[in-house]
Amino acid sequence: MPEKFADFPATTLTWRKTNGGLAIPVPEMDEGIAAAMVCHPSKAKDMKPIALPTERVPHWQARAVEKLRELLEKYRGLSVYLDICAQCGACADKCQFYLGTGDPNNMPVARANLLRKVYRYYFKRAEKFLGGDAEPFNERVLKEWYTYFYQCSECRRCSVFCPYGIDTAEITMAAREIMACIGVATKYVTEVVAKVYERGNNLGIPAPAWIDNCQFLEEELKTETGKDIRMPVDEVGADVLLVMPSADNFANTDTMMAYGKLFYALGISWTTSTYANEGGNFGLFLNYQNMKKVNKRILDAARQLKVKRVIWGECGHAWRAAIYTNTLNGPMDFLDPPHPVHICQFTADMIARGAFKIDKSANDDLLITYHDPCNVARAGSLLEEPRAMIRATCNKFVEMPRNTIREKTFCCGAGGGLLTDEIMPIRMAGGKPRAEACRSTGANYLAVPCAICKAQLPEVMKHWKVDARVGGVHDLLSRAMVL
Amino acid sequence: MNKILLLILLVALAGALTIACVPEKPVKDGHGELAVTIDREFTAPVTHSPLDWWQTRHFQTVNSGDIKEKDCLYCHKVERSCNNCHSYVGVRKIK
Amino acid sequence: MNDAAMIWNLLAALLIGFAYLSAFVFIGGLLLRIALYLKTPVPLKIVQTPGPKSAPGVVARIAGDVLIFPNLFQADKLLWLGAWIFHACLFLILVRHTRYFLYPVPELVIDWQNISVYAGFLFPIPALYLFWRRLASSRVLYISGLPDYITLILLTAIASTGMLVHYFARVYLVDVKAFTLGLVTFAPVQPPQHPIFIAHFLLVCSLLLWFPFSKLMHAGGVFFSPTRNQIDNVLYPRYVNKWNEEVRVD
Repeated sequence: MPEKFADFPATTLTWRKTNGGLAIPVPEMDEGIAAAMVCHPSKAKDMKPIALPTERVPHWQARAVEKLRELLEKYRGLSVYLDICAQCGACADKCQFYLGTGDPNNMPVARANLLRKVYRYYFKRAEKFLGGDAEPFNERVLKEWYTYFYQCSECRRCSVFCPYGIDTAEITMAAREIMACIGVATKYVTEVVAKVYERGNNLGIPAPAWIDNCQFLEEELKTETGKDIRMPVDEVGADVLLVMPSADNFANTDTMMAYGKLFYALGISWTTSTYANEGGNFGLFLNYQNMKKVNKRILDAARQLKVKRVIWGECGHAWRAAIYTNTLNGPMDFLDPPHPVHICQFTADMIARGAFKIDKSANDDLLITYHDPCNVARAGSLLEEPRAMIRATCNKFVEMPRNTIREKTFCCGAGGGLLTDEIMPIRMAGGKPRAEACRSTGANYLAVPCAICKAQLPEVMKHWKVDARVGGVHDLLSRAMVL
Repeated sequence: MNKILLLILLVALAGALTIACVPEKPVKDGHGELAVTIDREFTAPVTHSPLDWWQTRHFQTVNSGDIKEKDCLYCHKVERSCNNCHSYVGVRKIK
Repeated sequence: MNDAAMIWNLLAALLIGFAYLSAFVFIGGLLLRIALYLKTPVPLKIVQTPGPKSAPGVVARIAGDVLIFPNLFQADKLLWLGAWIFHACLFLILVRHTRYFLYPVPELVIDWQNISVYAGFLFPIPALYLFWRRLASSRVLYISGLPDYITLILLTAIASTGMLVHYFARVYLVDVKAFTLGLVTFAPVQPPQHPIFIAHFLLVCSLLLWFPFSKLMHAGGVFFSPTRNQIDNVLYPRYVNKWNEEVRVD
């Protein structure tokens, strides 16, 4: 184990299963243990294109308070959540980052209190008067915010256990938006959004390389299947615009090839767009404006290419933003209803109609378990579709313990803009509950429809020594499909 | 702000209306419609003294020692000297 | 009029003034907070999965949240039990207390006479458990602030003085009722001269004053939590954010 991981409690015991659930050991509290795990700060060259201040603005404290006031007026959720938390602590041991690190500021309630104390100082003086924790927005608080609001993956697991459904993700988003407006953001998130505006996708793949990769995958498919399966790019008049995470074109190519086979088998014309070849919306981690702007590219591409439908690929943050597309960038009535559509909804529907010839035994070498990505399941309500797909394409499917799946799923540990190497210990700590849940099933294939999870979980499995391969849900269909 | 003023006004109005319906509190040998009266010319038993102690505490004595509820009813008429008070403060009525 | 009577009259007047002040702050504060919640837009429809698909489903979900705390049950069974008994007792006691403000007293309130007394006796147990828990669990200790303790102490003090005037140092109820009824009909009369009753009454007024500015607002806010009170239909029909157009992206 690299030395920097030694900071966090690393129990070697295998977590036990108890009547369908996973007994999750809660670490002893260790104040400040994760305080040093800080994301690299943003660079001026990335802040400029995303309309954020390139350096800390003058009078940043006053500006931040002004922004907080604005957000309180704009978001009922924020206003209600800051008021009504009873500080009961039900959420305290539900966050994977607390379970992994033991740092009290990673308890959702304590994380929210970092913002709540500033709220109290400026907007709720009565509670401050009676001894409530209150602090002006200063350098120290800003440092706490920057550290701990970037150790939250906005996965909303805590919300499921809150008696009032308080959504810590909304509080984290508000804090990040406030920080962004005074010029404080992380390098990783801002770089990604800037790349989207420059090149259309998070990885910064230029159009020629995208086309090259697609041609290469076409050849691969030809070798594998002997069929001319196409990977169309920028084809005007196609029926479907597929917006996948750009990582599918580059790293998770099995998933990308699966999309190709899927549309080939259905005989549906489809295309990708080099203007909007990214679903994953990192604007979500900065502010409303960038979220809206990133999303807008997708509908613009759909209009340019005159498609009838937009389908979102296997990507978590893409789907989290996609379900708001109609609100942010709509109305979407130039497209065929229903919209928006997730590829798992689409495929599960097609499987249910018997559109494919499937040989389940092709997956018999795998014992499959399914990881609900927080944004696909908890934020995007897709609980059944991926499971229906796995059941239809595999004989051996096993669920992870029930307190770690569906709406109670653990985040992979790198969502919400945390998939960056400088906070690797936080990522590994946050991925631990998922790793242990996976270990408890004995599965050797962890199916997951999210590009962030696909990048994070292999490292998590390696780190916690769980012997499971990570891959897409469509990869399984691809293996089992008889063309 | 106007709505809130209107609401306060409504509350005040409701209050003023209820004043008209609220009777005078029940007082022994008092005047209001709830006045407590004893018809028979008995002297009060020694347990009833001092009166304010008895008024406050009688529920802890009745039915828990020698005195039974029916004993009270020799002198007390339920409507005029039990239930007018009981219904005023919202405790169980004597049958 | 002698000095003692004058001082008493003055105190009574102050008490009545304080009662009206706290009632005004409580009602006004509560309404203002709720008006604020209602006025504030909900820009994106974020519903807790799996969410209700219809309006009656939302009503059922909120009713469930108010009555049986299902999320808390999933989170921590012991805390759920403590919190549920705590709130159930509070509810029974509150219902029983409406007899001081209503005339005629509703039959239901009369029928609940015994059960509410049991609730009064039981109340300190969950309250003490919740207090003990704040100190005993390192995680809850970390998040607990002075207001959390004050709120619990205040409620326990109110309950104890309440049980005292009900059982051990009884106050004459007819006088209490005349006093409270006088207050709600804006025709105040003298309060009963009973120190523990006065203490009970003052503590309740303090709680009312404290209510709209504190976490006690969860009692009102639980109805306005956007993750719980919306229909889970974000995909269709189109959900409109009032200020979406103001955010320019071109």
